[in-house]
Amino acid sequence: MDETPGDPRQRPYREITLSAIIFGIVVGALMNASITYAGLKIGFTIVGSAIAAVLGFGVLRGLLRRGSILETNIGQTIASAVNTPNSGVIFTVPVLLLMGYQLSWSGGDFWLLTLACVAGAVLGCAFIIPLRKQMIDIERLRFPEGTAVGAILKSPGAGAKKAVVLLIGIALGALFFLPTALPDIRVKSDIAELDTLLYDEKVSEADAALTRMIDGWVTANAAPEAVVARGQLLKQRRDLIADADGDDAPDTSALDTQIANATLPEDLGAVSDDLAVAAASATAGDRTWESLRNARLGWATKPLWGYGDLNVRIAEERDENGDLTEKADRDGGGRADLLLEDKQVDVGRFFGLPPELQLIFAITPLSLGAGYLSGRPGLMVLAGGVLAYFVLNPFLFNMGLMPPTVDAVNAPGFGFSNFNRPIGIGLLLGGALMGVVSALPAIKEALKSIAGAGKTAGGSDELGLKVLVIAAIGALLVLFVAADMMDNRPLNLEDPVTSAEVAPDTAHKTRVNGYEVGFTSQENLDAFLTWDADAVDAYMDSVNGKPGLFAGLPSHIRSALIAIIGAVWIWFAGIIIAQCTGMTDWSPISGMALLTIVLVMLLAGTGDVLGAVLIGATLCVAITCAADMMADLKTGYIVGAMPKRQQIVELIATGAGPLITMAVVLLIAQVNMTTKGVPMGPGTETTAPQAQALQAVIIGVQGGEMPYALYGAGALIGVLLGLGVFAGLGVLVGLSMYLPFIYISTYGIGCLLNMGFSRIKGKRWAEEWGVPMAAGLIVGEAMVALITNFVILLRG
Amino acid sequence: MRLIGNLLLVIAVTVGALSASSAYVVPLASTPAEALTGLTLNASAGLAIGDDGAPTGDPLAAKGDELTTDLVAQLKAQATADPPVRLDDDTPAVTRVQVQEFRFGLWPGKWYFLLSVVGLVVGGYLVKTAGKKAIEAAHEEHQESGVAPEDALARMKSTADALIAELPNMASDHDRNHAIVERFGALQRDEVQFFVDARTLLIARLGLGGFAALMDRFAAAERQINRAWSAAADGHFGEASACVNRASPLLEETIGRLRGGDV
Repeated sequence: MDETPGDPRQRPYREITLSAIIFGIVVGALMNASITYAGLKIGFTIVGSAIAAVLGFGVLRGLLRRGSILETNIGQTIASAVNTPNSGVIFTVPVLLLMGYQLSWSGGDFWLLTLACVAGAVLGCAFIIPLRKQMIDIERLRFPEGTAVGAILKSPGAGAKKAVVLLIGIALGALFFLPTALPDIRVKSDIAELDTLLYDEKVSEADAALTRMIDGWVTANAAPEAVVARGQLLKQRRDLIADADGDDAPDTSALDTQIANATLPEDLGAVSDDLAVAAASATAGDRTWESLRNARLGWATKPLWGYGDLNVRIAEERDENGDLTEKADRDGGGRADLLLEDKQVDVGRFFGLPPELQLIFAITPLSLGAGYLSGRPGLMVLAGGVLAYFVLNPFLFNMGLMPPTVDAVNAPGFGFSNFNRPIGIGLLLGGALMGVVSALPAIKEALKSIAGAGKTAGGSDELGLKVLVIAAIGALLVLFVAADMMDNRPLNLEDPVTSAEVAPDTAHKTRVNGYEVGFTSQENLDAFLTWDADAVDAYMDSVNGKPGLFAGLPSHIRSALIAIIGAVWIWFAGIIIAQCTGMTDWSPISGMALLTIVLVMLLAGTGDVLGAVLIGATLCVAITCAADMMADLKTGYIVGAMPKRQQIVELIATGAGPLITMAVVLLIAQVNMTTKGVPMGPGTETTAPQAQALQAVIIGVQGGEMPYALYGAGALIGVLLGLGVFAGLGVLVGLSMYLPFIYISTYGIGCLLNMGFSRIKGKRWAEEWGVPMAAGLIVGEAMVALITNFVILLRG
Repeated sequence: MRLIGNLLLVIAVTVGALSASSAYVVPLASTPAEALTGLTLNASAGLAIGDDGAPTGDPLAAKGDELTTDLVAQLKAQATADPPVRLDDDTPAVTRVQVQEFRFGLWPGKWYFLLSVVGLVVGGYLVKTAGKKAIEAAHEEHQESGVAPEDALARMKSTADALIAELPNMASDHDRNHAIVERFGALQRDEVQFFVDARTLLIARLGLGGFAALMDRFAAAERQINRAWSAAADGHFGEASACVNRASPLLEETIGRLRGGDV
């Protein structure tokens, strides 16, 4: 039917709809849960905007047949808002579990942490609102992922050819990443292939030995008596606990003593408690012997097919005895090392570079695509990486600035953690500071514009400054309450006099070095007050109770100051992260978490771990949400969405993210406690690598190991670089020194490809066809990663 | 000048980062024993020597150990030994220790670091000066060639105006949407990019505050163009048409600001 132009088009253009909201929440929640588990297991997370955009097309336009570009944009905005906070939580909260703190559904700490994370999510989104104009409208930062999502959303309208290019990109991204992701899924191995798996270094000697032992028991339908005896005791203990009523903990002390005495001989040392219980049950006929062939009980598993199975190895080189040289077999596995591993390709060894010069490329189409989208400006990241890993570290190693026990192979790793990382973080800070200072006129104009638009009849097209003011007040309140609550809790878990457990709400307290020290009784408190200064100092040292800078201030004033500094820091860190993602797509969340915890411990004191992690978690969630919001707003800008509508849905939806993540973290911790006896970390499937790194920092701060001079020197270089060339240069160089080179190298190839195509085929061609291809690569990898994570979650 | 400035910056950053790295790494041979004593190791130091007189592969002292008079003496002996004490030919000799405490006096690279700071300042000045000259040259070139950001804005405005005039005469909404997608698509590709690429020139002309005010209006117009494109691609002429109508006056405002009327 022909429509005349004069006809009113009553049908509203679909943007915020119920379908988009439901889609966003469901997809966001699924991504959040699976990525949380995977993040705790492998240490890094993925942003889900690109996946949500593609799924949005499939669901809203494909299945429901009515979605518009802007409706899909709202769907992906909500989905990523619900998903994104997970990285902020899992980089910080598990450190408490690693350090022995207990979290439970009924405990106040869990809910306080959850509240702080929810507040962080909302604050991150609100704090960044005034900077949208400056970063997107005025500065026109690229936000590679946001640009990629924009290209995805526009692809159907941009013509069939571009849609095909996008699909080819997705297929290529998925195809190239599949052999990298598949080995993360491990399946039960067959006893007959153990020797091959051992030879291929896919199963450790210990795992193979344990598997053979279990196989022997299954074949004989019998396990060693010592194992069965210990298993019976453990089973009795578990039954006793399981049969206990409600809150009454059963008395297991007698059984505990028997279990402690029922040690296994050395040759059975690898037998876990779970395996012993299973063997006892099989002996009693409660389960089949065959069921002992179970990965959870220690049966060896093998990874699914990956690049490593192509067996592309370094050329064999043997010494005069016929043994492989160290050059060919660095890991001592008895075979020439792999050049092409599941997750990386070692080009440096192919070209025979010295071991301290490690030219390794991660197999990640996502980084390649992000590098392409960053183009020439992103090349600074590669330059910084080359400086750190090909100039600094080799020089420092060869000049003897590393310990003599660090060999060339380990020099890049030592250099990274001892020199590159602190200087890089300093550069980031200095560069970001210059970025803010030099952008002040633009920020002033942006704020003026927002304030002015809010006063006009039609109102502004984005949320006004009121939201910022409310957010700032909210941030101060949440941080003040958190700091004050932590300040009034006893620093110590045990009574200094009797070593008995101290209740967090004990009334018997005294203040030392700015901390509350708790006691189980007034008599113990009185006894403590008679201790001489040296004894008190020695005790405070033993509980890491060094005074903070604000130790001498009254409690509430100290909490208020920490809250104010924390809120300003959250705002500043949000700008840093938004600048980083805007220019490169990398976000140094863990670096910011590290600085936050150092900052809080400096102010409040080294003993205030819970307070530091709580504020650190708030900040981490806030900055990840800030960066995500800016990327989503960039996408919205590209497709012509109203910022205000995106900001509203993001502000409302983002609070759900931390709730889901915290629930998943607690569930995993509880399952781990039941099955492994520890809530998180080594000894469990969820090793929480980022939290372990943070734990090392906390211990470092407590031990006085922080290299503040390196941070300071880096910051000075970052400021001066910003003064000279352009304000954000320090951020780019710092980021590259802070990140592992294997990702920078692949990212750099993407930048170079963009420059190459621009030169050969022209800038327009590189943009028109390269952007959908790069977006496809990002989506392809992200989808495979998400599916793999989901499979791991279901199997885990 | 730009090349020299950039080279100076690269050298200064490299030297600065290298010398900063030595802030906690103290040379054993040249540092007096009394200055070392009492410091705490932040990495393992020295090499343990076996009964055969060769290094065992273990460090002499571990991270966290305090440098005692005796330990300092042993480490200094290893650092001054001839031949140098080392694990093998591929690893460095014992020459330094990494400590937890920062002492400006013990920082071996302090003067190099200060030199790098000077290099960064001078290099930055050279690059900045060269950048200003390049902008002035580009400005003159633009004036001579007649290709200026104003032209891109004018072409965008005329495209929007032409669409407003022509859309009512088209046969169907399909044709109208197609026209919006095609013409605004071309604008997004060419003119917007051209205007955005003129950023340095515009900042030089208007200052950062003026540029921000200009881009505020331009971004509002561009968002309407983008929204019109999306709505047209979705086949929703009502929204697309409204956005085309909104884009035109916003572009007019932008042109006005660029001409200095409202900056």
